[in-house]
Amino acid sequence: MSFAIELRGIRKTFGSKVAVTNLDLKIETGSVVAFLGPNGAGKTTTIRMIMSILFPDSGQINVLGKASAVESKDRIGYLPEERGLYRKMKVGAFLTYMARLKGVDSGKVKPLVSDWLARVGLGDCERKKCEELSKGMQQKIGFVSSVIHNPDLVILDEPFSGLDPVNARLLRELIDDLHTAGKTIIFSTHVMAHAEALCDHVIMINRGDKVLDEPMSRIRSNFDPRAVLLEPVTGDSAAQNETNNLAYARAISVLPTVHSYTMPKLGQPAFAITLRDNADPQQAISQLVSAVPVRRVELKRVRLEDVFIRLVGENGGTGQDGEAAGLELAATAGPLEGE
Amino acid sequence: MLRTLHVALREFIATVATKGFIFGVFLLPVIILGGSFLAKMIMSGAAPSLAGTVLLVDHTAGQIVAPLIEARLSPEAQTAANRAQLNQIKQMAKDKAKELNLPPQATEALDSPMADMAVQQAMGGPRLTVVRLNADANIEAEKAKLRPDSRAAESPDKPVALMIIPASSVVPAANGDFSSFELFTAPKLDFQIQSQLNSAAGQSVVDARLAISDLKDQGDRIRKLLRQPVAEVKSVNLTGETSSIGDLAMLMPVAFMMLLWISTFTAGQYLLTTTIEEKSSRVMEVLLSAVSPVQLMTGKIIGQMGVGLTLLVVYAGIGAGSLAVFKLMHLIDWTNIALLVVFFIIAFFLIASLMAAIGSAVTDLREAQSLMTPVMLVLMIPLMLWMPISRNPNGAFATACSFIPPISPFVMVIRIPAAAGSTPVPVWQIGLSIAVGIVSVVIAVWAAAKIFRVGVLMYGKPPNFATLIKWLRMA
Repeated sequence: MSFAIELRGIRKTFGSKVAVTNLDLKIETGSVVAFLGPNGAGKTTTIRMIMSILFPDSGQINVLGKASAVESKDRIGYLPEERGLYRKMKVGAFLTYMARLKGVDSGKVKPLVSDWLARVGLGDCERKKCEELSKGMQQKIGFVSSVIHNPDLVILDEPFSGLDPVNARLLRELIDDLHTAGKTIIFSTHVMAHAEALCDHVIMINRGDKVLDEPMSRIRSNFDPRAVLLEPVTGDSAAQNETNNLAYARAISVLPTVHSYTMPKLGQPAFAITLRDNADPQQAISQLVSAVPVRRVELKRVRLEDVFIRLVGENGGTGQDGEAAGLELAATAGPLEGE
Repeated sequence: MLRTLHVALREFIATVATKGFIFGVFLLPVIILGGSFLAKMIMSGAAPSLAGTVLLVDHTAGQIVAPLIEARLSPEAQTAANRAQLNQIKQMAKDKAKELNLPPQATEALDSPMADMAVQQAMGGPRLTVVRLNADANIEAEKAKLRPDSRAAESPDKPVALMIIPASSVVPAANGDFSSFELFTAPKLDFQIQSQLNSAAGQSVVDARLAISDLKDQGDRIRKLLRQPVAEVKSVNLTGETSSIGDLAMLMPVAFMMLLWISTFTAGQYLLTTTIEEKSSRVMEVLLSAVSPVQLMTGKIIGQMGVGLTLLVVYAGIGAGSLAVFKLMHLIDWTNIALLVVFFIIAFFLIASLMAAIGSAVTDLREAQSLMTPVMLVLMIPLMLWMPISRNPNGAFATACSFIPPISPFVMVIRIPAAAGSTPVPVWQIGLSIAVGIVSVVIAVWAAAKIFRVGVLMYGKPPNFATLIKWLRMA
C-alpha cells in the first residue's frame, strides 16, 4: 500500500496559540478523503503545511514520496479556501499563467485551457476578464486552475462553498472523474452530504487534534445508530393523531427489541426508535409493523453530520486521538435522542 | 528559476501594459517641463498692465526732478525700455546659440517682426500718468486718495502712488550726504510696478544731482566708470575649459539622483500596490500553491526592476536626446551611466525589499500608510541632501553618507558626476559603497523574504513594526 501523504508528529503554533498538535496522518494513494472539522480546528493550517505554504514547528511531512511539497508542486493541485483571481486579467491568460507556473509546456497550454473551460461550461469566457464573471463562475475557474496541470494529488479546501446546487453537482462529477482517473483527492467541507457522497475515507480534527481517521465503511459500522424511524398512519385531526401516537408509544415501549424512543414532532413525523444492543433490526421492524399501523418504516443510516456533532460536540472536541475516540463511541453507541 | 521568471514576466507586463503606466511615464516629463515653464513665466513675466496716476510733489529748486521722472514713466520711455530689454534677450539667446554651435537659422526667427510684436505685447507694462502737485499740497489728503475706500480709487485714472522729492535729495547737507525721497503706494500694488517707480525716481534724482553739480558734462563718463563689470565664468578642468554651461553641469548630479529616485521609487510603489492587490484579492495563496513565497517575491522584485529600468531608460533617453540636440553629449560620462545602473540595482533591491515586506503585511493601501511613513522619510533624505553633497562631493559628510544604506546609492550618484570636473570620487570609495550596498541588499532581501512568508497569509489587525520584527523571528 502506498501513501500519497504521510504526516508524523506534526505540530504548529502561532505565538501562544497551538493550531495543530502532534498530528499523524496517512492518506492512501488513489483515495478520496474528506478532511472535516469545525471552524478553527486546524484544517487549513494542516493543508497549508502539506502544501509547504506553512512549515511545521516539528514533525515530518512526506508528500508524493518527497520530503516537501515544494519538490513535487507540479504533481499537486491545490484549491485554497480563500481563492482569488486577478480581477483585470483575462480568464484564458490567467489559466495559461497558472498552467505555466505549474510546469505545463507552452505548446500544450492553449488546448488544455480551452478543453477545461468547455468541461466546466465556460467555453465562451476565455477572453473575458475575471472580474466580469459571477462568483460561481470564478469558483469554477479557480478549480480549473488547480487541476489544469493534471496533478496526481488534488487538495481542495472548501471546494463547494458558494456554489449553487447545479454547479455543486458539476464539481462532484469532476471530482469523481479525477478519482476514476486514479488521482488522490483530499477535500475539506462543512457540507457533510458532499463528504458522504464522495469520500471513501474521513479524517476529522478538532482543536488541532485528530479525532477520527477511518474508512467510510468502518464509520458506518462503528457509528451505526441502531435506530428505526417509524411514521404511523395519520388520522383526520391533530387531536386524533395525538391520541393515536400515545397509544402507539405504549405499544412500541413494550416490544422486547426496543431500548428507547422519541415521539413524533414538528418536522419529524416519525418515532425515532433506538434498538437494544443485541436486537436484530429485521426482527424489530417486523414487531413494529405488527404493533403499529405504518405509513413508512426505515432502518436509520449513519450520517456524518451526527458523527461530527458527536465527536466535536457543541462545546468542542474530545481531544482524544481518533482511534481511541472511535472505539469508545462505538462501545457507548446509544440513543441519538433522549428517551 | 523558470517559475520565478514567469512571475517576473507577468509582473512586468501587468504593470507596463496599462494605460495608466504609459500615460504616467510621459505625463511626468510634461508636468516637470510645464511646471518649470509656468514658474519661469510667473517669475519673469512683465508687470501686470495697470492704468493709473502717479502723484508727484517735487520740492527741488526749479522742480528739476519732476520732468526727468515724467520722461522715464512716459509710454515712449516704456516702449524704449522694453525694446532695450528685448534686444538684450535676443543677444543673450544668440550668444548661447553660438556657444552651442547651433546653425544661424536657429536664431533667425528672433529677428522677425512678429517675434518683436509678440515679445512687446508680452512685456506690456503699466500705463502711468504723472500728475505734478504743488509744493504746498496737503500731503495727508493726497495720501488718503491711495486708500482703497477713497472715491478716487474707483476712477480709471486712480492714483496708485505718491512721490515726494525733497530738496535735500539733490542738494547735499553740510556733511555732504543726500537724503532719499518718499514713495507711498496704493495697497497691494504689484511689486514690479513699485520697483519701476522706485527706480525711475531714484535714477531721476541721481540725474538731477549730476545736472546741478560741477560734473554735469561728465555724467555719462561717471556712469561708465561706476558700472561694475561681470565676467563670463570659464572653468578649467581635466577635459579643458568649459564656459557658460556651469549651470548645466551643476544640474547633472541632481539629474542623476532624480533619475535614480523616480525609477526606483515608482517601481517600488508598483511592487507595493501589486503585492497588496494580490493579497487582498486572495490570489496570493493560489500562487503559493505553484511557487514558494521566496520565488514569488523574487519574481515580483525582478519584474518591477524591469519596470524601473524601463523608466530609467525612457527618462535617461529623453535627457540624453535633449543633450544630443544641443551638442552637449560631452557632459555625459559613460562610466557614470554604468555606475548609475549598478547603483540603481542596489537602490531598487533595497527599496523593493521594504515595499514587498510592507505590501505582504497589510491588506490595503490605507494600512500601508503607517508603515510607509518612516520609509518615506528616509527616502526623502537624498532629495534634501543633494545641494550640500553636490557642492562638496568629497567632503566628510558626503563621504560618510556614501556608506549608509539605503541612501548610499543616491549619495553616490550625486557625488560621482558632481566631482567629475575636479577631484573624482576615489575608486575605493565607489567600490566600498557598492560592497556595502550589496551586503545590505542581501540582508534586506533575506529579512523581506521572512516577513513576506508570514505576512502574505496574515489577515486581520494591521501590523506595526514590532509585529514585523516578531514575524522576522517567527519565520
